[in-house]
Amino acid sequence: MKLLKKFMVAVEKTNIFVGKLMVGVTLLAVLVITFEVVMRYLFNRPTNWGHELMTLLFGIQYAMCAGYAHYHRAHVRVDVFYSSRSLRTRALLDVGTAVFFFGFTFVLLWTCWTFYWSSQTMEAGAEIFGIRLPGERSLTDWGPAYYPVKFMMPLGALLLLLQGIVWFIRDTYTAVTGRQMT
Amino acid sequence: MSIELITILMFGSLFLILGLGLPVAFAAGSVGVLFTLLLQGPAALNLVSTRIFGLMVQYLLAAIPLFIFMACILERSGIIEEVYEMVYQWMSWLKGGVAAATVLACTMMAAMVGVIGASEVTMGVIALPQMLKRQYDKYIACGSILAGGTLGILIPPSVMLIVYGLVDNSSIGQLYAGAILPGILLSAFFTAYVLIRCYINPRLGPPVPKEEQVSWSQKFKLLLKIIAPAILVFLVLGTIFTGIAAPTEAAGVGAAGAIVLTALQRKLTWKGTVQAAENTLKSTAMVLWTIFGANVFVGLYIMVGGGTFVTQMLLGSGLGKWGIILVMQGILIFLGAFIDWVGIIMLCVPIFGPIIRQLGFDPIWFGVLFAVNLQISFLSPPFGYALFYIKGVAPPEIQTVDIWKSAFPFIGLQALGVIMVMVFPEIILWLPRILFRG
Repeated sequence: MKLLKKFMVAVEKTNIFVGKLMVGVTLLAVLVITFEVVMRYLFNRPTNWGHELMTLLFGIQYAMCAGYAHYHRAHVRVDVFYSSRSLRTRALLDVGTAVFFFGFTFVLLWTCWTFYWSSQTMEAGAEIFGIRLPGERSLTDWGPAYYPVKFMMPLGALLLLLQGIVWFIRDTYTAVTGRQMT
Repeated sequence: MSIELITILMFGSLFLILGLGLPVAFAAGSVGVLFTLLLQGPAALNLVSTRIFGLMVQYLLAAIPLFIFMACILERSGIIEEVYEMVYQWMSWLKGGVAAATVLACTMMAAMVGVIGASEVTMGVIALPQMLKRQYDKYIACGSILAGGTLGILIPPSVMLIVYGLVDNSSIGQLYAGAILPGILLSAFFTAYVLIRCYINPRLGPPVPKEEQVSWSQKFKLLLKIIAPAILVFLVLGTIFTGIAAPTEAAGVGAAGAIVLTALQRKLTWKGTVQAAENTLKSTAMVLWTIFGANVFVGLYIMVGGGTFVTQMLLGSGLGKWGIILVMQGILIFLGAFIDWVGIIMLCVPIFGPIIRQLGFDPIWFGVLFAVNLQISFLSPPFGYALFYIKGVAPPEIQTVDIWKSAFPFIGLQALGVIMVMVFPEIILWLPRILFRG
């Protein structure tokens, strides 16, 4: 039981921390596009990386925020039946639909991992000091490495899955005892 | 498996799981995954990650967090309060003037924000107590905020039209241009409604007494204060309409401009900015993951022939093109009462879009009609978003039922707006034609 609690606290703390990181990423992306706009319209010197960097930063944000949002229970639900039920019934419903949640997140994690791995091991011909580096790169002028962005997908999926497990434990507890787990 | 059976099973299980309360993202995603496995085998599951990555690196999609961030920053800037103060001082001498001012201030704010939360909450905090203090009818007071605030997601910049344009592959700039006049039309309906009601029965909205009104020089001073926000609107929308910037870049200008404006107001703090980014993160997660999940679902449905099936069913139904449009409007109003707008766009647009083109309708017209229709979904009880926002900030003597009742006349006006843009398509199509000539 103690170990379980520790696990739950660890997952939630991680997701809160990731949320804080993603707040930073959001601000960074805004900064990048601001810089790009200023360079382009005030100094007429657009960069070749501003737009892509911002897009990738937001991409990282989308991928990584799923677990954080799930921690806050912020994912949009259909309230027709759910929201007017008692705490215990809601927990029971959540336990019941969890099989679908886990089905989706398992597939998400698995396919995102293979997707990332094929990108990581791709030979795109990049070289630094004559050493060939593996890994997929974007096909734009700037050509940033894609695999770190793709790595965020299985990582984000894992965080979502872990947060889902935590909620599953909490909901089971509530469904059985009628109380919220402290 | 026949396509009829697939349709029934896929949508049936989706609505069942949605009804049981699983978030839209996971419900749509899991049904999508399950049927991919059943119909196409495990190898096809790789589409899940490919589709999501395709959306992640979609440049246009980045406009969504940027516009949400812009709204979250402006919410803290005090500009909404100033815009309201200005319109209030100019209009409060009218019977029902404070309610009309509320609608107009919301309309002006709608040109700066692309979501509904910012205006709903702020106006609920400043305008609602003021109207109640002035003995306004509570239904007029709540309704004007509900309806006015909802314009935020219709009048450009609009997050809704970005999602629509992306899914439908239509020009977001043209959609924006098309949404301006319908937005103004709805705003005029709301304003006229509260004024007429209050002129017939002044007890619903008594005018502010002469001694409480400010002088003319004061009024003009207040007008000066909104020059800076007006410049921001011009920069954001102007760059899109003149084709100088893509919507994403314009959203970047907007986000940066909002920060500058807030700094000019001396309201820019590190804490506030971080909070704005936090709210942006949550809202973005809600929108984006619904898009991801629903994309898996609808992508598979289209792939197994669902789109063609629905097209043939509707075309062969003998309804005629306007009959089909009406059926679609009915579906939207029905879904709007339950599912949030992102889910509706993701589920309906990939199926409706091709039909609209086959019937020979203008896709821009239909896109804006879609958005005008979805306005109703924010007000329709019991699950309209706007209702929740107002309930959250309303004083305790305003019951949930009061808020619902206050919404109904305005839902009627929104429906009238839907009819107007159907009968007179030029309301939508005129401006895009002028702005995007050639």
